[in-house]
Amino acid sequence: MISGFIHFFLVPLQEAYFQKALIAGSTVAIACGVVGCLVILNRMAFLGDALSHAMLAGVAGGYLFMQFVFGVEAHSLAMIIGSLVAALLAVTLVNFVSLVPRIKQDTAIGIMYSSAFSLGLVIISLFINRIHISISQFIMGDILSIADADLWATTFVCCLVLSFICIFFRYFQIASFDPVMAASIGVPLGLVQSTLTAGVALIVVTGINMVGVILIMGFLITPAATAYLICDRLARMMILAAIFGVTSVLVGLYLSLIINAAAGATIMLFASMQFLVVLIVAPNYGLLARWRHSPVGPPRKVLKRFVKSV
Amino acid sequence: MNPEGNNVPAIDVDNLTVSYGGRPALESASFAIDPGLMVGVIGPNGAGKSTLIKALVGFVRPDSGDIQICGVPARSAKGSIAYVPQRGDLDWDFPVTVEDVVMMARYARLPWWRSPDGSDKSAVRAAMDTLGIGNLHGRPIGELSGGQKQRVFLARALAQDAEVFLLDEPFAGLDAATEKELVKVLARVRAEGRTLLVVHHDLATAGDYFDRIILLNQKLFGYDTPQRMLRPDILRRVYEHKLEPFKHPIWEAAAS
Repeated sequence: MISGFIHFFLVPLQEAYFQKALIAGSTVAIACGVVGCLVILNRMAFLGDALSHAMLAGVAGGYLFMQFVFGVEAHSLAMIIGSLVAALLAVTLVNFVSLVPRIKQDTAIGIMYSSAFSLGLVIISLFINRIHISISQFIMGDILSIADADLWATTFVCCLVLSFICIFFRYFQIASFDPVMAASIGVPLGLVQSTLTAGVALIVVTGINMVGVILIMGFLITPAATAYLICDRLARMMILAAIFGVTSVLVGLYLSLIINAAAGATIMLFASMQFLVVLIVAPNYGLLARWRHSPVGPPRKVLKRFVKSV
Repeated sequence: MNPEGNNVPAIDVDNLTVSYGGRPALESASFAIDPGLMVGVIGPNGAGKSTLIKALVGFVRPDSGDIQICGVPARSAKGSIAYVPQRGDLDWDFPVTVEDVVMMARYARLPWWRSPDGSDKSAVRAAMDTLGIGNLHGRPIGELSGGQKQRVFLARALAQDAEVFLLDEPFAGLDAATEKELVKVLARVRAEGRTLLVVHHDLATAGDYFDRIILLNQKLFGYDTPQRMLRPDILRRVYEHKLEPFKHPIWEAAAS
């Protein structure tokens, strides 16, 4: 029985595809968790969404550039650089559109996000014979078929972003919490903001390979939000978010093997379950704790609805 | 006035103009504040008081004008300005503890590659003790009362060891006892020869608290002693005749 159990966990570990999925998934999860905390606290979630969609155009652009100029197929570095350029353009356009006071930033992001994604789709459909990018992989990702080159690129990018955040942690913290004070002590706010945006863009680019454009935002935000419900210090929140990310990848991958489901989605689903559990049981900010401290207890309506659904 | 005996103003603002999206918030304001003074910035809502502070710390870029802090252009005077934000401007759910917040002040002078050492920690501790919040050091800021929050940010300013303090409505929403205590702390800061610029909305206490008053409503209406500034005829112009229901000796006198 026990040996069977161990067997079940060890057998997949001998497969190269599973090892790579585990390593790459965990690396991205750690980076996503840490960056995700800053994304949440700076209310950049929607911006991140726009970035990820704009990247399709960038990936296609980078692909075409390398193919036309150097005749190289699917060059990963070029595609990463292309996505970064696209992300940068998207942010610039968002800021440009919000110059008109009537167009608020979320509106501007909504517009840019769909138009940039459409641009990517149009480019790919125009060059359908030359570009071999699978749109479904871009949208859904494929954590179980990661190329060695991608694994290296992912590790490099994640380490780069993580070390940046570690080294300049205090400036990210002050700029997110009290930007005016940050300005008063000489923190270059514009630089911090663009570094953070670039970091989000980099992480999203590497993550898209694995979980796709739709799930990457959940990957970035859900573990961080889970940690936010438990922690009262930014550094701890980051560490815990990274841990929640890794457990999602670990459990999600095995779970997807058992029930034979799409790996990326199973990982994301487990991350969401983790969040729900913590949302309910978190010691200070969870629902149970709030109801215990409130004189009227849980709102009747919520209870009724809950009982009904059970 | 200042220990060196020279006459360099602590805050020297020359012809400062700031606008948001084409709308002027502050128009060609000029004043020079000598060191060791506690100055109140008075004016109606939307008069550009916070804008003035944000321009002084370099958070908003002025359209034109020149700012010097202790004789140095504001841009290179970073670290010599301690800023106390308006309580409503902050996200109180942010995951930081009291000690984290006060420690932020030390990063003003600390190069990025150095972590805080013993002297930083003792400065943080001393500032927290001065404001009576030493026992709250590990508490998340969201759990504090309004008065405690204000103490934390005043402690942060103290820990910075700055020449100039800029405070945005520090007494708004506090009970009288806390306000009195914080005013005492500020008076001590001034006694050390530092300069304070305080955005304030209560005309009744302005005369007691401040050595000088800046009257502001987009334009500068004057910078002088409270006796000369807090006069009904001047205040009427600043507040555009919207202050009549205000019950205060000044207004009673003006009415009769």
